[in-house]
Amino acid sequence: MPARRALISWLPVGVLVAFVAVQIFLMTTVSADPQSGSGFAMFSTVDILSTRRIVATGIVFDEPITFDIPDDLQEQAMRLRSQPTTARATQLARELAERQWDPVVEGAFARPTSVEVTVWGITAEGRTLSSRAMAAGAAP
Amino acid sequence: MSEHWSPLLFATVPLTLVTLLRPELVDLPQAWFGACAAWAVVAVVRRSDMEDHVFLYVAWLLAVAISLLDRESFTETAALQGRRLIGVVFGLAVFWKLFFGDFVTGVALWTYGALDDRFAPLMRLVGISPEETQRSFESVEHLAVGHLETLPIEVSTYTSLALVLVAVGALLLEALVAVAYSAPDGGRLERLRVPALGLFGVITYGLVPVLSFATLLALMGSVVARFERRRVVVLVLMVVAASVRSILV
Repeated sequence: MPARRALISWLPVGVLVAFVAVQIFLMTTVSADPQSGSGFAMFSTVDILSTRRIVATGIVFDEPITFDIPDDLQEQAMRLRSQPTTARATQLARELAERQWDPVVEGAFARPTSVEVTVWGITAEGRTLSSRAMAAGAAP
Repeated sequence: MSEHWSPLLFATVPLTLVTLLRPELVDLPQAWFGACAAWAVVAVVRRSDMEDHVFLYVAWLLAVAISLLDRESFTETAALQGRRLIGVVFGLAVFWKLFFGDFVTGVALWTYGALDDRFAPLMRLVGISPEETQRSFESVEHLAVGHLETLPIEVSTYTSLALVLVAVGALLLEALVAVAYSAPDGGRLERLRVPALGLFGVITYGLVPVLSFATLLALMGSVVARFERRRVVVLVLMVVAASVRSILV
């Protein structure tokens, strides 16, 4: 019985460690934001959600355009920044490509002929910060 | 910074009200197991809507439930559980700061200072003017969208040294909390627990007010201190610091 008691006694720490293990798995597989989730890595690195940006560009009416992410896609964009993967970037590019945009003439809307979505992050090497493309996707 | 899935309030508030009306329910481990299960399920299913204090909270609810299985030894068991959890959390915080390496060089602090207004007092302390911070903000924004490939951090020798000193000081304080809470009761390190945690809390949450984490740590720390009044007061101070800073930000 003492062994069982000891096992139960360590359960809370075990649960906490399991949460941390999931976060480490996500950090290594889908570049999950180290600061969010269950890693307890607050303020540890420059590569966090607030230093990650989404740049969405495309062609509308043969003109290059940088898209502002619409309000209803902000949550999706947030998840992409939190876990930048090609699949998520491609999905966001598809969503943007299905919409009508008016880059040149007020009131003249058209679907983009192409959309590229890139998630940019920053890294530190000594006292120098560098930008890096973390994930990218395109549509159609 | 204090995010959790808001519908959890609908489960937690009624439970809290019920325990106010029938306080004896608080003594039932089942109530704590139930609360833990509810939060755990949501923490797993809605993981991306949760911040790290929620995961610590789930482990703490489980710790209280397990401690209540033997009411005779509740205080001692809960104190042991709190001690272990605080030790693990601070140990992890130290591990990540050493693992990434950006923190001890002061680069991470400089970057947060450039992007996050809450770090303004720290930036002034290390000799970075609001104008310089604004210029750093613009540079980091250009870098973050890929318009710049690299950004060398050019600061004065004083600022560079001050950033490293602040970072190393914070790291040592976190390491002290981890060691003090991991060490067994009865030793010299036990006496350092509350001063170290309180100092960490007042400095950290006085700068970046993470009220939820401050409150949870103060609660767990108070249990570990067996609710000794003088020690609890120190821990309450860090909640006050976080609260005041929350209002000022």
